[in-house]
Amino acid sequence: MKNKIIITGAVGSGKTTAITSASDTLVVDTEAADTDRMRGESSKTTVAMDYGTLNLGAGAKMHLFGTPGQERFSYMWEILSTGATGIAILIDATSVNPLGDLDFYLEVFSDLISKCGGVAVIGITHTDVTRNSRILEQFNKRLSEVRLSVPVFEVDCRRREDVRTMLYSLLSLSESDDTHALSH
Amino acid sequence: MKNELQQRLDAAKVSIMCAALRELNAAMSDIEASAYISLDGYTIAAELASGVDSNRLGAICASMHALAQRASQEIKHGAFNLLLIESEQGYMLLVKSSVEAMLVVSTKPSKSLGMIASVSKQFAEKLKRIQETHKVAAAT
Repeated sequence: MKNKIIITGAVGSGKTTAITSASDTLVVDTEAADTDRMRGESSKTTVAMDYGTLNLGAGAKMHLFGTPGQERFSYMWEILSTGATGIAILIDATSVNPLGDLDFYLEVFSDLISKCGGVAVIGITHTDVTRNSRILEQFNKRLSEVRLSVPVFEVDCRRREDVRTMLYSLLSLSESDDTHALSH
Repeated sequence: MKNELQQRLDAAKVSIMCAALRELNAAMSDIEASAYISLDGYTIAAELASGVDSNRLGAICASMHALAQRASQEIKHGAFNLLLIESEQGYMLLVKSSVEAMLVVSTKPSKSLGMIASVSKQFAEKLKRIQETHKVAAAT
């Protein structure tokens, strides 16, 4: 599938919201009421995938596939990644260890990033409520350490333009030969 | 944290559900195993063969249930009731039980699929009643 983009990240990082904001079509979601009482609050969780499309003009479309966040659904990560041409990793800035989350998803999706020729972006979400003003700098430093040339964005997943800007940058990466990952 | 009474009620509910699943497994010779699974992928009660990871099965069934439900809506067939998977060594049925849970039934290769589906639906209803009775008991 041309322009098949995977949007992944931990629970609550904003994947479903991002796809809902960006999509030009009604999003196919597979949310179920979260019955894990340890979480202590009523919420919903994606159990299979989210799907939406972004019109690129001239009949072309970007197909957006959101993964479930919980690791017990990790088999879906592999299923959805088949044939993907790019990946957006969303990291919740308010999580206990955002850099640890970044390392985790870069590792889990290292094969996909490699196969896509480094067509990947990182979106840092919930930056409006984090106290860490240096998070962007920290992420760029970590990516430099692992020798990945991947753009990092601060994204408010509720804002259509934020999400679209991030996704369009994926497109420009896929169309540009000289901005691919340095190595992996 | 759950209090002691809630934990006892949960344990009693699982025990009653397991008894119902054993009854289902014995109802027809072709039925091999069954499990009651929440729609977000937690196995509530299971009577499965040894070696089957009930947690992993629960998560996978939740994904399939959600996609089957979506596919039913997409093709405008209304609410999803049952998903059938035919494999080399048997069948697997996912039967909607309630707004929170499904019944999963595993069978040998069988010529009695219609009867198996019918019995499975009856037990899905029975398990739903057990769950609802428990909820009432927990609330009082």
